[in-house]
Amino acid sequence: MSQINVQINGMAVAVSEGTSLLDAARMVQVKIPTLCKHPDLVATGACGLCIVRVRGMAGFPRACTTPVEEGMDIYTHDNELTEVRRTVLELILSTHPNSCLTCGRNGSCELQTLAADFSIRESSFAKYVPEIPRDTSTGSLIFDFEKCIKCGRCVHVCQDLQNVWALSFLNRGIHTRMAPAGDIALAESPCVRCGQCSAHCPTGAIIELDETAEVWRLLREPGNHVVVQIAPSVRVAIGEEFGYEPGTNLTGQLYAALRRLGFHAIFDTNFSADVTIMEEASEFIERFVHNRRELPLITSCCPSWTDYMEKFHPDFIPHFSTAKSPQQMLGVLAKTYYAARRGLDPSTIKVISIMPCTAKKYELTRSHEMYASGYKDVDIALTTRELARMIKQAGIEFHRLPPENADSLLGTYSGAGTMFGTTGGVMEAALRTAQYFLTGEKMPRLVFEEIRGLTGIKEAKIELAGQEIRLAVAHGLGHVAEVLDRVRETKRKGEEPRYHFIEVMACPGGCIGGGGQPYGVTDEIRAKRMQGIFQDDRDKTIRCSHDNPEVIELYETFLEKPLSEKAHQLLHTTYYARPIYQR
Amino acid sequence: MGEPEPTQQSSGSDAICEFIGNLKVENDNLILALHAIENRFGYVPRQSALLLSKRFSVPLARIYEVLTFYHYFRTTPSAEHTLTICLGTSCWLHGSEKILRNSQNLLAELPPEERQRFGLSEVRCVGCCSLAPLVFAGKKVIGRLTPDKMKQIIEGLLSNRGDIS
Repeated sequence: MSQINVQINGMAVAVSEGTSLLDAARMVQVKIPTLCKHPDLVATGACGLCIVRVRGMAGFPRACTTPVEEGMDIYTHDNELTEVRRTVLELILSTHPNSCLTCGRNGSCELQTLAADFSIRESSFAKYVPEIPRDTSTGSLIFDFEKCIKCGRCVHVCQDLQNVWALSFLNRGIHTRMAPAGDIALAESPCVRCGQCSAHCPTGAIIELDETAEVWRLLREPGNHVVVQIAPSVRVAIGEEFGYEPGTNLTGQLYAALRRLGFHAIFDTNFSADVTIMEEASEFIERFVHNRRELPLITSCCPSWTDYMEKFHPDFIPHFSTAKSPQQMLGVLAKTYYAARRGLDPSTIKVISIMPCTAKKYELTRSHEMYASGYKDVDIALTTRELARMIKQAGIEFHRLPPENADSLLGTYSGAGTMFGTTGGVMEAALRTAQYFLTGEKMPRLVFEEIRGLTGIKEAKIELAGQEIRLAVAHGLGHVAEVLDRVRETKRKGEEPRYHFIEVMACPGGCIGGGGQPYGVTDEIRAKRMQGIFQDDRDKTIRCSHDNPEVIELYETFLEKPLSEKAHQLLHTTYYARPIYQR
Repeated sequence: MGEPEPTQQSSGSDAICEFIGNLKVENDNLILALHAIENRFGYVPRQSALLLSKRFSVPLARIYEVLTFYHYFRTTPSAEHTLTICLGTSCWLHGSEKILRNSQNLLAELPPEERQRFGLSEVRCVGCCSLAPLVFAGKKVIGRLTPDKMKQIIEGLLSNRGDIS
């Protein structure tokens, strides 16, 4: 690709063809303000803040949508540009409520930050904030349309990145709104609650449903035995809320913080991820070796993905692993196995989970099987962001906490369990154990480099006990249809299965890029969080789920063996075709 | 209107097949199909939009983006009597905005069951500025409008007199 030479504020820079002025400026350490452009998304030039001056060009082109041309002489900051940008901000603010203090994005809002940076002290324009009722129908996300600045990020995320099409632009001009088709409630739309809209929203227009107050109440209520679990990807992302580099593994500090918050037992979803692997790898062997039920086997630990499949691809229901997600497995085991072993009344046990995910809130009640213990297996799911706020509320100096350990029975994990937090990780973890089940080899191949990384669809062929296994890994729901279509094609032609095993995670990067994670995620941050997960795996002496001593104990004393009757009763679920639209 | 009320059946697949006939299933034809439905029913029923979404393999959300972007399309049935007041430059200069406000007030004073029979809307220039200010009452253009004349029109429609002019 040819190099294009331009001048930015007098500095010469050579960039590849097609680079936007915005990205070119970044290469010489110049940041042009934006509210609509996000590195994950195609530039639309909606907000008008990134205007620049180009010698010889009329007006102010927008840096995000203007590609470099040879010899361009670009000015990104001067008095006039600052004045115009301030006016643009004031116009946006004229349609925005002044409710920063009670807003879920107070302190993390991109609009608030820019208003502060541009010294906006008064509003020159008359306020126009139409009253539109909030949409709380999903139980995971809150849509506060009044705070929407119409940047369009959520719509492009929902349509282009995720291919869900729950959100769209309704109406036009000043009446434009982001809403489901025909202005129905979000819960009646195809929304799968992945929360990527909330992770990309620059303001407080889309935030997670905050349930911290209910958790505080449960912790205070006498007689409760409140246990907590943390998901794999939370440990490498929560640090960003406390000034750590993305990807810093803070497992020990998290355990310590949770103990100080008052939880009675600290468990780890990585433990139940190991249990999920025991079940799922056994399912794979059943299908692959014993030809029971169809191949490929498809992973099912992501609730947005199962919801999406049930709505858009119900023909794949027979392919789904019936193993519940690690969140639900820990919940049901806490209220059965742990309760019995500790002599606790399960009705007094409350299970709180800390998840990178907004859809996990939905998963708690997705079917009657989520009550397999006889109680609601997991009581409340909080996002990483909600937990960070609880830690701050409790006055815990997180960065100074000495690391602690998790509690026994449901707290020990293997390197495989932690891998659940990243795209490709569930499959890698499953392959480790599948190899052992298949060959009995104690030291199987651990690392499958082919299915790591941020490529949207990853494929690999591996040798297992002399047989070829074909794998596919997709992350970001927008990549799902292509993989499934390939499978449909081989099915139609009556050929050998194109794949034997498919892993899907709804969010780009997997759970490390989940909709409930700290704000501001880009591929650069996703890659760092991913490295944090891989490092956690490497740091573990036990790298395989089947070697986890607590998992072995669980099967020996309680479940008997994977896919046993008891395991099926507690740890497995079923799927149903669901309508895309409720109305 | 005189158009038949769409039922679940008639706004469904039969109606679409009938009205869009041999339209090829491609994105470019989506808007033609929407026009056909709109012309038939006076609006695009959700049932029709859902079927169109399936037939064209276009997400329903995209169909509603199109429907709500163009003022021509309606997503709810039109009222028995539609009154569309022009707010184009010429009409506006001749006081059409005041007529619009007056009409809104007049309708607001009616008992609900009578008010529901009217659909008041606005339009930007219909290209007959010599008649300014003007209103479309149904498909009929009534020019040189005054607040009084507007009142007579509404009263006339209410008493079902066909002599509005």
